[in-house]
Amino acid sequence: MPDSPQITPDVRFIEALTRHQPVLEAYCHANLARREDAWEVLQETNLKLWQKSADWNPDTEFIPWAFAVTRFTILSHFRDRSRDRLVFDPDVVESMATDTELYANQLPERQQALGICLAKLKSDQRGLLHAHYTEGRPLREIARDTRKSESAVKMTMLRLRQTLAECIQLQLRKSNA
Amino acid sequence: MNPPLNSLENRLLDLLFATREHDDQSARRQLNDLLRGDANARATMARLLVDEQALIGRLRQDNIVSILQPKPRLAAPRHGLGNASKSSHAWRNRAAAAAVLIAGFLGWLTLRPSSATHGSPAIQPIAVLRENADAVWNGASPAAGAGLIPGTLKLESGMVAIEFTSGARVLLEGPAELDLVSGMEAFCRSGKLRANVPPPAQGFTIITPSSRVVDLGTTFGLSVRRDGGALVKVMQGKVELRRGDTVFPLKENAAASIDPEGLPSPADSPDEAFPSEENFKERLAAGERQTAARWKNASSHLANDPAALLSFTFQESTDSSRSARNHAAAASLESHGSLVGAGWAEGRWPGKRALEFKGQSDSMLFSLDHDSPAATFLAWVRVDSLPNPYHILLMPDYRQASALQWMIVRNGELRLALSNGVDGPGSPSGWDGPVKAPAITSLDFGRWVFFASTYDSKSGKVVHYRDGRQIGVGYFEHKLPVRFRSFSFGNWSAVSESVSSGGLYESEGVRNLVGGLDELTILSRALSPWEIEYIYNQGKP
Repeated sequence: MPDSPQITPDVRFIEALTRHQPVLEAYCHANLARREDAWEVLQETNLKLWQKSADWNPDTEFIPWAFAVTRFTILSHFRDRSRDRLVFDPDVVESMATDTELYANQLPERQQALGICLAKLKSDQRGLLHAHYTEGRPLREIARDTRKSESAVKMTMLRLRQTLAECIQLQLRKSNA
Repeated sequence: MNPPLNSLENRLLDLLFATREHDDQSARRQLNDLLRGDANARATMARLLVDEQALIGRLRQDNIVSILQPKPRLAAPRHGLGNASKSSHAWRNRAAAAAVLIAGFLGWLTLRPSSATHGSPAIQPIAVLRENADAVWNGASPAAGAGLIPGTLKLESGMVAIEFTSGARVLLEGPAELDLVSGMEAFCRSGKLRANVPPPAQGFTIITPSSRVVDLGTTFGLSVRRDGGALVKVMQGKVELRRGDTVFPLKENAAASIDPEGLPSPADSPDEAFPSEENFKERLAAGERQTAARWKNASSHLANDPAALLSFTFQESTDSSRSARNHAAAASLESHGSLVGAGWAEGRWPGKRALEFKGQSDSMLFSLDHDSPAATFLAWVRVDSLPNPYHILLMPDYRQASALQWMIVRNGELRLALSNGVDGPGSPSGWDGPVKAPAITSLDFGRWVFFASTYDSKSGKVVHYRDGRQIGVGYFEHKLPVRFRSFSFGNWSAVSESVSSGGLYESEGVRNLVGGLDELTILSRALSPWEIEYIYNQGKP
């Protein structure tokens, strides 16, 4: 026997935890609105879930249980941060709870719809989204490098987001029809 | 004409930009007040943020070239984690010792080991993703060479070759959805495939929503329609279609259309209606050319980063080379690599060269002369097995205080440690860390993996990455700056008797890496997570 206590979770747990990573990340992101915060909370949550894996009954749904553990991690994240470092106040996060759960649960469908919607954009539009959202570049940096004003870049971004939002809505209606 | 902007969405995003990017506290208050007072605003905000995450997940998969060329992020010398995190929060200072966090799942089919796993983390794959031509996945996104365990693969576009442990080879063309069941069985919900089944795999079965296609040692094509019906064509040998207890044999060159109820009827279908190996080869070759061009561009940007101390790409080498050139702009003569034992092999793609480490004394030696408050190590490594307690990636001279050591442990952990010289200069039995992160399992043996670790002495923070995603975070206690001096890659130098066992070593002995090195970069700043993700995406095979 090794001297340290070992946690060897059920293979169904590992499968569920890994499969639902995107949904959990989306849930963290919807609560915290900053990628770095969401990442940090996701990692702490994964660790907690791993340690508590024995508490999960594989015959029950994974996501509600994982969301509950995530909420605790978010609460302790709020305790550790000064208010001005967070995007949302704790009471606002609480009042958004139903909505964040609802939309985080829809992530797989929304992402699939988004795939179709992104394909309809021009490549420079996708490139702009990529630079801001995937690479995490601030709008002012994009503005500087493309020799545009920050407000022009922001306006383009707002229009793109709106186009995508409308397209996602349409795709979801289509696939539910 | 542009459509008018939705005012609520517009307002929320605007306030969010101001809060996140400019730390605008007044915008932050307005945002929170708006959300407090308006249920519609709360629902819209939640939706926008989930879609933002969906967007990140989606764009991450597609190899989108950024609109901004060249990459100023890679060119601007900067310490720390970049603007976003600097302004967002102060990282919590946790216990100085390693805080191992289980994260960074690339997709659930390529499992990470648990930090508590002892011994080689053996997970039995039932198949391997052999090759990948422009695959775009939804969900699990295994890379070429990844071992696959039971689960669902959703291929949106592109083509992949999956080889099952039974010997069956399946070419799958997107859009397709395939459940891997065992080495002998897969469930195709939709999409087109070609299965090549050698004699040992006779009986290999593809289940469709309407029937079972059992192979009797052949090549066949299968196309599953959205309604659950299917088309089967036997190119060689024969197959059996089964529906309940009823068996319909199908001979060579025959094709059958199966209705959604599972009833077959003779059909006429050319071989070209199914994926072919020839077409796959062409797509692979085109993909490799693209990858090589993209990588070349990104790697030269990286080598010219003012913080780049070392950049080994091995592209200049020949089979008889016994040295490796440091392509970093500021390379000194001593920084070129000298090979000890190590030979040459093919790297991430045909034509890409790599170093091969097999023997117990194989290594590459080089020397830098630089002090810096931060560091990043990046390496494309192929681990063939983990036979030793420790497998050295980068080993500094043991007498050197404030030097970083990078290794992979038998249980698949990636570790970074910093000699703190606490016991006095010349005998650094004291080490900060190691900061550990579970990084690989036996499923990764034989495939190219991108390891990255960063350290910033300002916060003491160490971050480990695998294939562009964070897998662990921890802190070094003493927050010492880094001294880059002489290093050995793939092995440690023969100075074992002097090295004490303080924390890092459980036993003396063999510590060589068994595998390959395709690229190695060292920088004197801590790259941000986004830069590392970018570099991975530009260089992934």
